[in-house]
Formats: sequence, C-alpha cells, structure tokens
Amino acid sequence: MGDNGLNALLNAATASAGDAQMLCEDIAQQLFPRAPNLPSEAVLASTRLTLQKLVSGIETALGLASANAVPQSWDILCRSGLLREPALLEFALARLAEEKIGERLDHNGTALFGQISTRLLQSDDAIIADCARALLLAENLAQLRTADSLVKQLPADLLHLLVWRVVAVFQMDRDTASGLVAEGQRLLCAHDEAEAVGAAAAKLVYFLPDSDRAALDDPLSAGLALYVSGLAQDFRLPHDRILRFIDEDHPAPLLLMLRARGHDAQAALSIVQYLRGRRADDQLLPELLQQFGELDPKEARAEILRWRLGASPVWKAG
Amino acid sequence: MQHHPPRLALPINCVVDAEGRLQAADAAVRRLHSGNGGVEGGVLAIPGLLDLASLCWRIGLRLERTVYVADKDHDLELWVEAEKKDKAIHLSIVGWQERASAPRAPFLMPGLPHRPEKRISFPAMLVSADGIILHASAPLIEAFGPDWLVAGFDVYFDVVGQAGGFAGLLQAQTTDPGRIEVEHRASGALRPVLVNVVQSEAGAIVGARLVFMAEDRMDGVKPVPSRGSGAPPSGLGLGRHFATAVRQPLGRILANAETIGAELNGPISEQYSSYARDIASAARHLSELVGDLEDLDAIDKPGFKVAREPVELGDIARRVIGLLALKAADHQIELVAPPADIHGNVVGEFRRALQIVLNLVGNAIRYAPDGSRITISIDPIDPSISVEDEGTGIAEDDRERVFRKFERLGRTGDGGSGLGLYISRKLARAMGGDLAIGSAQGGGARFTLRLPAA
Repeated sequence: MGDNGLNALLNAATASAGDAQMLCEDIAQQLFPRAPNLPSEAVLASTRLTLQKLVSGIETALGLASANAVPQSWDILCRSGLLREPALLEFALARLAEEKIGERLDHNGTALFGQISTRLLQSDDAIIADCARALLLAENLAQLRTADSLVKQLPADLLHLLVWRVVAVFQMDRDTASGLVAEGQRLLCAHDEAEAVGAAAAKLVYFLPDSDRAALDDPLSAGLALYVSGLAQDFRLPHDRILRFIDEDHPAPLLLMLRARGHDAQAALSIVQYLRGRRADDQLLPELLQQFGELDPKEARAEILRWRLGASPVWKAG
Repeated sequence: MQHHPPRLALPINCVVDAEGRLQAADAAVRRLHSGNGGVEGGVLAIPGLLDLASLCWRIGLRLERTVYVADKDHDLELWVEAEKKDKAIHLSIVGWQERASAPRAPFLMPGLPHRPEKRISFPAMLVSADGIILHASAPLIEAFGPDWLVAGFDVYFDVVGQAGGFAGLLQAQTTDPGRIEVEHRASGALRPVLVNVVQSEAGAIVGARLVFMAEDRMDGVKPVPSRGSGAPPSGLGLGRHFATAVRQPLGRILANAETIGAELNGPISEQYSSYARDIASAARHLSELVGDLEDLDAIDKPGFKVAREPVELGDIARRVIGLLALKAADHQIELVAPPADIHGNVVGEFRRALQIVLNLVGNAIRYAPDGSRITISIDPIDPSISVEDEGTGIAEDDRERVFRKFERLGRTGDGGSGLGLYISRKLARAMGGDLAIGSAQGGGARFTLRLPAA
C-alpha cells in the first residue's frame, strides 16, 4: 500500500475512533436534554448564524477574511468543543432576543431608542451626556447587525476567549499562522467593551440622576437598552439574561420581575404587550394576571434572587 | 440610605499584584479590606474587586463594571475601572452607592425543594429553636445515616456538659458563644461542634447553625488552658489573655465561614462558597498559629514543667491515626499503625506526647505525596516512636534547621507556621527525651521521639 493509501486508512480509522468516542456525548445531549423546553430549529439555526457571524467578524479583523459564508475555523471550532461556552451561547441567544424584541417594537411603530437617552445628550452633567452619547452610538452601531458590529458588542472576556480560540485553530496551519498572535493582540487592544449597548446602558443607569430614574420603569420612555439595564441593576442580573427573560416563550419571568417592582396587573399587562407583542404563548396572560395581584412583591423578589444564585429546581448531575 | 449622587469627586484607588495581594489602597478600600478580615499586604479580601482584578490580569484588557460589595448592614454598588499597568492591576472606583442589602434566601425548610446540585462540603446542620433538625448537609448524612433527620436534635445527640439539651445549649450560647462537644448517642462518637445562634431581625432566637468539625481540628479551637494570675511574664510577652481574646473572634469567623460554605442560609454561587472555604481555611490556620504561639509562650518561659505520668507509645500512635485518618484519606495517604502487641512504655506528659506525634504525622500528611504511605513504628527496647514518610526527605544540611523557630525551609502557602517542630523538640526535651530526624529507607523523612523508659 502506498503512502496515500496508508494515510487514507489512518485518517479514516482516526475519524471513526473519534466518532465512537464523541457519539456518546452527542447522543446523551439529545436523549437527556436539561431544558424543559427544547430549542426550536429556528432558534438553533439563528444561534448558529450569530456565532458564525461572530467568528467571521474575528477572522476578518485578524486579516483572514474568506469569501465563504461559513468561517474558515468554524468546522474545527465546532468539533473541538471550543464554542461550547455557556456565556458565549447566552450572548448569542440574547442578541437573538434583542433582535426579535427590536423588530416587534419597530413593527408596533414605536422607537427602539428611548426618550431619556436622547434628552440626556443635552445634560449639563458631562458624564451623563457622555454616557448618553455612548449609548446612542452603541445602539446605532448594533442596528447595523454586521459581523464587525456584533464583535463590538462582546464583553472583553468573551472576545478574549474567542480571539485566542480562533487563533489557535489557525496556528494548526503554519502557513496562515504567521503574525496571527500580534493581530490578535491588536484586535483585543482596540476593543473597548464600554462601546457595547449593554455596557453603555449599564453605565448610564448607574450614574442616572434620581430625577430620571422613574422613567426607567417605563420601557417606552426608557428605550429597550435602558429599560433592560434598569431591571438588570434592580435585580443584579446580567443584561443579556434579562433580554432572554423578556423574550422567553412563557411570559411568567417578565411578569415576576414586574411584580417584584410593585407594578399592578394593568401596568404589567401593558408592558408585557409592549415588549412581547401579542404572542400565541401569551394566551395564558389573563389567567396569570389573575394571580399576579395575589403575589407579594417581596416573594417575587426572593424568587428572582434564586435565579441570580443559579439555583436549579431539578436534580442535576453528569 | 444614600442613593445619589453615586459619582465620587475623586476616584478611590487601589493596586493589586498578580497574586491578588493588595499593594496600595486609599483609606476606603483599606477599611473594606480589613473589615472583611484582610491583612496588610495580603490577598484583597473584597471578592467583587478581586474578581475584577483577576479577570483584568488574565485578559489584560481595560474593564469597567459594576461591583457589589457587602459592607456592614448594607451593600455597596461600585462603578469600577480596572487596568493592567506595570505588572499590577490598578482599580479605580469612580461611583459609590449604598444600597439596602440584597435579600438573603430564606432558610431551607422541610417541604421546600431540595437543591441537590449544590455540593455542600461541610458537615453542618440547621436546627430550629425547638430542636427540630431543619437541614443537614450531605457529609453529616453520610456520617450518621439519614434516619435521624426526621427527629429532634436531642433524640440523637447529647451536648456534653450541658443540661437542658438543645434548648439549654441555645440559652448558654447566646451569652457564651463558641465551641461545644456533641456525642452521637448511637455510636458514642464525640465531635467538636461550632455553634452559631441564629436570631430574627427582631432579636428572637430562631435556631442555630452547627458545624461539626473533624477531630483533628480540635486543637484549632481547643479551650485555653487556665494559667494562674501570678504567672511570670512569658518570653513572647503575649499576656495570658492573648489567646482567649484572639481565639474567640477567630472561632466566630471560622464558624461563620464554614456555615456560609455549607450554604445553610440558602444557596450561594460556587465561587462565593469557595471564598467561604478559603476564609475558613485561613481562620483555621490562624487559629492553629495562635495555638502554636500560646505553646511557644509557655515553653519559652523559665521554669516550664511537664507532668510525669506513664505513657504507652502504641496508644499514642493509634489515637493519632484515629484523629488524622480523615485528613490522610483526603490525600489518599495510608497511615500504617505499629503492631498491636508492640508497646513502648515511657514516662512523660500524655497530652504533650500526643501533641508531638500529631505534629509529626500532620507534617508528613502535609508534605508527603498523595497516595503514599506514612508508617508509625515503635521500638520497645529503646522506647521511642518513629514517623516515616515517602516524601523527598530533608537534606542533611537542613536537618537541624527544621527545629528552629519559624523555619519553613522556603515553603510557603501550605498552612504551616514553622513552629511545630521547634515546639515539639522543646516539649520532648522538657520531658527528658529528644526529637531527632533521620532518613527513612525509601529516602523520605524519619522523625523519632525518644522519652525516658518507664
């Protein structure tokens, strides 16, 4: 057998052996999913697309752009498990939620940008005006929905993780690896996580004067980013988690947050319909709202605290 | 409660090195650091800031984020900028808001969903004021079985030297908190227990958290031996109230950290649970150090005397193995006892001889490789007890140095104080014997305690 034949045999044997090993893991995930509601095909496809866009954005920034829609490092990143990072997936899912909520707000004919941040541009307080400007710039950038703008939304630690994983994939191929580390460092140094929507909104909410804080209770005047950041600050939950709660199939997480804030049923209904639109899943709303008033806001807050602590209502092992 | 303005006229700064040690800090950070038990030049004891500094160090990028810090009766919400400069992390707090403390999760009560995914590593329980065991951690259930959980504390445990059972204990602990000893009625096992009385916001006693400690941790919280008021000043000049004064707050820190780690007030993130374990470990180390200093204080004093009583070295060996078996098992180390029919009858003070051998075996566990064997042997002819390990041994040039005060042979971070062997040799000599070091057959260290034959 010639060299080529031997290599083909070796490669096939290695691939099959790898399959046998990995298959158990893949089957376990399909047979024993943990989330009670399985993700739809649409969610899986959109998440994959967002991650591909992120990796493409990083490859382009590293000078490794290709004409293909699928990034060059994608296949290895997927198979090696380098993308199996819950924080990365949460980022992708939150962008999906953000996009869906944004589309609904546009569809409702309401502006995505809140009145507060536009007004605060004129603030006499330089830091408030700067924060408002940074938020509006970040929101405008995010609206572009390009690979580059998506990369700019990444928190610094996630970008750091992703850049070095992409670089590691290319380093397997010495022909393309030259200078990549320097490019990676340049990309990281140029990144400022404060330019992301979530970070800019969090800073503005933090420094917002008391006179403007009441407006954070109303998503229409606050705008999506500030409203979400207000909730995030109130419940000490990540901005992206709040976005996902708002867009959850079930309206209950959002309702619970509204109850914890002390809203009455009528105000809650109006906020839920504003942010979620009229969805098939919200047929349960009338029934849920009947119980809404009976729930003590302190109890609702205590339950949200459990979410923050990561408590799971089910047994978890393996 | 102040809410605004959160922005500081001047930022509050601090600098943290690669190991997380606080190199420099403005007064406000120093106050938070020391309030959390941090020491000057020690690892930053403000978890949120330390996390941010660690992340900044790891990724090397400028960060600005909200950090939550617990401060006395309220929380602080800080806006912090972090930057890596000159091989250190510079943290700059530009926003400072006081917020009401985040509500704590309610106690786990029967009927509430159990959260088995949280690993509770401390043997601890929560008992209501009327003595009902509300919750027990997995290690306790493993140790005593599950049946006792449905009954009251008094049915299964006896508080040694305390009349009135658990109710009496609660009453006594509110005025004199600290360590107690508890007997498991079924097995007769005695365990030291740290008690932390839980009170409602209105001040009513609602129960207690009990942390069961391993036997080998007893000396970390041992009762302070009483000294006559006319005792001459000691070599260290610590004063007779020093250990009492230090040990009591340390005991509280240890109890609180272990109960936080056990998550008896409700689940906390694994990271905070890990901080609590670190705090407990540091408090235990400090407590042991206080014990060592106290011994040092005593033995360096002119006229230090020990009792003369018959001591059987085989008995000492078996007790030490019983006390340290769990600690050795943590490192998969096998403790080999001398044959039961070999006796070494000597004269000395029993508790001091036990203390020396505990120190020798404890050191061997600390420094020998995991999975190795530690052998305790007895020479009945020239009565002595030897402890041999399978570690790298101690170089001939260093053998006398290890008996010096505070000598660590360059080792750090292993929980030792550098006083154990100094104290052990002093004690051995005070009993008319000696403590010597040699080489084990496999190259490990061999310590031999010789005492006068009976």
